[in-house]
Amino acid sequence: MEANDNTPPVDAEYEKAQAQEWRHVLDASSDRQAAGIDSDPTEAAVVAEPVLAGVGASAAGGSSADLDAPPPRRQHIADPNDLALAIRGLRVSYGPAEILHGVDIDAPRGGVVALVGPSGCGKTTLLRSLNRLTELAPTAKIEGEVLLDGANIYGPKVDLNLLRRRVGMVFQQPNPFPMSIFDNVAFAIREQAQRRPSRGSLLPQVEQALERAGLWDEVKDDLNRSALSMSGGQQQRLCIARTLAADPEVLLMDEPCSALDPRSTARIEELIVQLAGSLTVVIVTHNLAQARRIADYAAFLLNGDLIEQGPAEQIFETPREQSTRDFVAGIFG
Amino acid sequence: MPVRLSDRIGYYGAWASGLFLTSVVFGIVAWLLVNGLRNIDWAFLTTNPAPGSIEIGVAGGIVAPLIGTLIITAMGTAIALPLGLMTAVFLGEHGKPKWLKQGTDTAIDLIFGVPSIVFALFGLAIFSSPSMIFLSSEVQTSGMATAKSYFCAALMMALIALPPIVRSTQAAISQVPNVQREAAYALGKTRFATIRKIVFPSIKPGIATGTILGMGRIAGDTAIVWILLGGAVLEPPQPGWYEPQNFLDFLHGTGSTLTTYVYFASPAGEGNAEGKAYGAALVLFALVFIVNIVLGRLGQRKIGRQ
Amino acid sequence: MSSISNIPPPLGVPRTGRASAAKSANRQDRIFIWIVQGIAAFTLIVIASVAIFVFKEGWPSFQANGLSWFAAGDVPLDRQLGYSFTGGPDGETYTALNAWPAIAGTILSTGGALLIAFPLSLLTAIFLAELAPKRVAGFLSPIVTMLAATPSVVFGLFAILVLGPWMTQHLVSESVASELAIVVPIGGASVLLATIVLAVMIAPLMTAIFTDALRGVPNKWKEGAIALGCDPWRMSRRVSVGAIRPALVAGASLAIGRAVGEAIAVSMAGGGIAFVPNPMDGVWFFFEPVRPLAATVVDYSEGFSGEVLKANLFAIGVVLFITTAALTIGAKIASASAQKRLGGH
Repeated sequence: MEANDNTPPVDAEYEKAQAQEWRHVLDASSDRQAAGIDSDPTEAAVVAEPVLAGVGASAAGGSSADLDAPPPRRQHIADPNDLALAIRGLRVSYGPAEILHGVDIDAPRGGVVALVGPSGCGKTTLLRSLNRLTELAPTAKIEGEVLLDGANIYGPKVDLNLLRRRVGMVFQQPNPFPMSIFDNVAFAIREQAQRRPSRGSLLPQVEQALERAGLWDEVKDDLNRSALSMSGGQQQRLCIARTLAADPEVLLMDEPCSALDPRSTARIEELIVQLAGSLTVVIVTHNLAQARRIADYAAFLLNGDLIEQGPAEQIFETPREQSTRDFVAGIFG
Repeated sequence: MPVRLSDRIGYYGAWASGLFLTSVVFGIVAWLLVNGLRNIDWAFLTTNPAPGSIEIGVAGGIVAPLIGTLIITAMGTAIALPLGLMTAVFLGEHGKPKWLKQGTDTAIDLIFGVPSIVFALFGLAIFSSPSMIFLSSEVQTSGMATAKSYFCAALMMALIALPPIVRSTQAAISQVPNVQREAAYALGKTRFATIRKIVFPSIKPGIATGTILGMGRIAGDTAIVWILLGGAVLEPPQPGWYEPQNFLDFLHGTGSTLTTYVYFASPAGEGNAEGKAYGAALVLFALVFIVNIVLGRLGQRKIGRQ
Repeated sequence: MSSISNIPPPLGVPRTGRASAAKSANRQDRIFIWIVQGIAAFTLIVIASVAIFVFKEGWPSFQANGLSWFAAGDVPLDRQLGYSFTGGPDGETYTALNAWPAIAGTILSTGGALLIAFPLSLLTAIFLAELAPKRVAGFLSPIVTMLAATPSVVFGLFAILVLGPWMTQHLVSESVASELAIVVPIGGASVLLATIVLAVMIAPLMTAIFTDALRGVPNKWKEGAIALGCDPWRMSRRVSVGAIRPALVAGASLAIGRAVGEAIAVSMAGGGIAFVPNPMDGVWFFFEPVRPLAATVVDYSEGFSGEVLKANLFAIGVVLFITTAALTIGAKIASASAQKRLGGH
């Protein structure tokens, strides 16, 4: 990760500096101090406006408040060098077609990493490689390493079921099982138990998972209701609760809000930000604005290659690669 | 490979069941082939049954029952197909009024679920009445009809072939995308013309599947034949029955099919011609097999070409 | 809108051909719809007639016996049926009928067949839909369907010529057989054989239905379960089988209906004696003969000319009709409500 900041206070300074520079760009149409920015002013100005609002606000808040206070983002990341997941040279092909051409991505523990890129760039394949779901396809071939806490998940003796409990996944379309809400959430817990656990012993864990997913208040009166009777947004939160019940370290999310209405989307984005810190989130999203809202780090993929990765502000505001800039500017999607 | 013991038992159980059922299937087919082929030769297929012959296992063949099966299947299907198609069109395209749709839907399900012996009894009940003598023949003493003839049997066979045809066609109709219909209506076509020109061509494979299933059901049924065709294995048909002037009389008379022949030739019936029974059973099985698998494959290939 | 069509066209404007074409097209459609509705109504009339006529013919038998029709009588059922044709021991018209032995035969053979075939079919369906390699499954499925379409006489033949004698030879000891033969012939043709034959007949049917249903379980549920760390076998059991509950009910009902109505194969395999196998006889219980309801009709089908016997046989037909009709409708209701619970999947 391009971390020229290791401690929060430096972060605030950096952000404040950035904000000031962009203000110059907006205020003056001619020269400005080029502090590490080579992009065309006008283009950057187009990009900068909405971002400035956010950055400026946080920087302004930082300036009026304590400069040493950690920024709103990334305070949940204890150590950006402590990687929950480290992807090294991942190469995935289905039959003759190679989808990913060897990518390296870091996911610091407790952070939210957004995988962005145009359709077909391989981000979903990448995500599914992280819990070894790609192997379900008979023609899939995977090379490279994915290190979970330093251990390669593609190693020889890896217990797949255990892996998938440590690395949970939420899908694009909510897919609750055709059972009651309780049974859905308890599913993973029942899986792990050696003997059939009683309903009473399961209840606390179910409640906790539903609380973490922000669903408990809405369903606590009737946990025996069929999961399919809930709205789309509720179903997706149920799927999140179901995954959380297994107490994962990493949560993979494949465009979790793309099938939902804006209100449910906002709730789930809140949820993700809340969950960050206690676990690491890797989220694939088509929605750049969403990525900006919730991501700590971002990785931009194009046609199976990693073009750029770094802190979210860098990718979305000051990208180094031309294609990243183009993508973020909306020139292609 | 599951870890928990109960899971492992289930896992191996599934494998065991699958293999067991497969071996049962192959066992039956193999046994049928071995024992049946031994008794089949050209004479077997072309001569009439000769019961009461001293040389059991040598005399007689199955040509009459074989033709009986073919005729009954053809007749029954011929009656069932148009009725089934129209019913399917009603259920799939029109469906109004609602009570008629629900009623017909239930009726088709019931006709499928009720065993053929009940329909055989029904046929006996209605075809015995004197007004139905035109379907079979008259019983001398009571003035009632015998209710045993190719016509009677074919009518009831049409009944049991109906549900497969209806359901299969109905399913195919529902697969036709509505946009095609709407396009036709927008051009001012009538419902009838739309169905004839747009819907019908694409549902042909579905109709074929249903018809094959129906034919299989007819060919394999014994109860209706036993009660409504007379099971008269003992009497070969009159010579020259196939000539046009005699054919109608032939259809008014009794007969047998492969199913009743097998039943009759087995120890359950009166014959003790095991070999003949095997042979007939194999021919019957082969017929149903050919119709199902081969014609079914043809129907599928048509789908591919479309 | 119809009021507009009643307005005559302005003078001098000819009626276009399209208007009259539309009219005849409408008529064409109306006739077509009439025909189609009529035929659909016809099927409704047919099944109603079946119920009516079979009941009408069978009513005298119920009338003469009341509820004891369903009970066991002092006179063995076979003798009763014989008397109903020939006349009673004193030459009178004999109308008594206690069909319990036939009913028991049906219950035993059908129940036993379901007990054997249901788990076998479900396990095989799981095998075909989820565990077997794709090519093997693709090869076996049509064969299973083929078996489901096989005529029942073939199974009956197999039972009576192969299984039955094998059982008689290897499982029934000579001495006991001859002892009990005074009461009832013990042998291969028995309730056990009938049960086995029925099981072999209904298993492919259920397997085909269950396999189709399992294959239809949306992939997203299977994927969701695997992503939660559920190993594939358990996933089959918990998610897939749970999801196909309507199909399980429908398949089982269809199978029971087929077993109840199966006359021919059971007539060949059951032993042909209306006897209620006695569990008290220990292991010999399995080898005692039986003749379920449907088989009874076939076995006595020579006697339709006798009024009383005819009524008795039709009465059996009524019982068969009501039982299978109830099963069919019950299965439909059960699967419809289960579909609703599943949220329309």
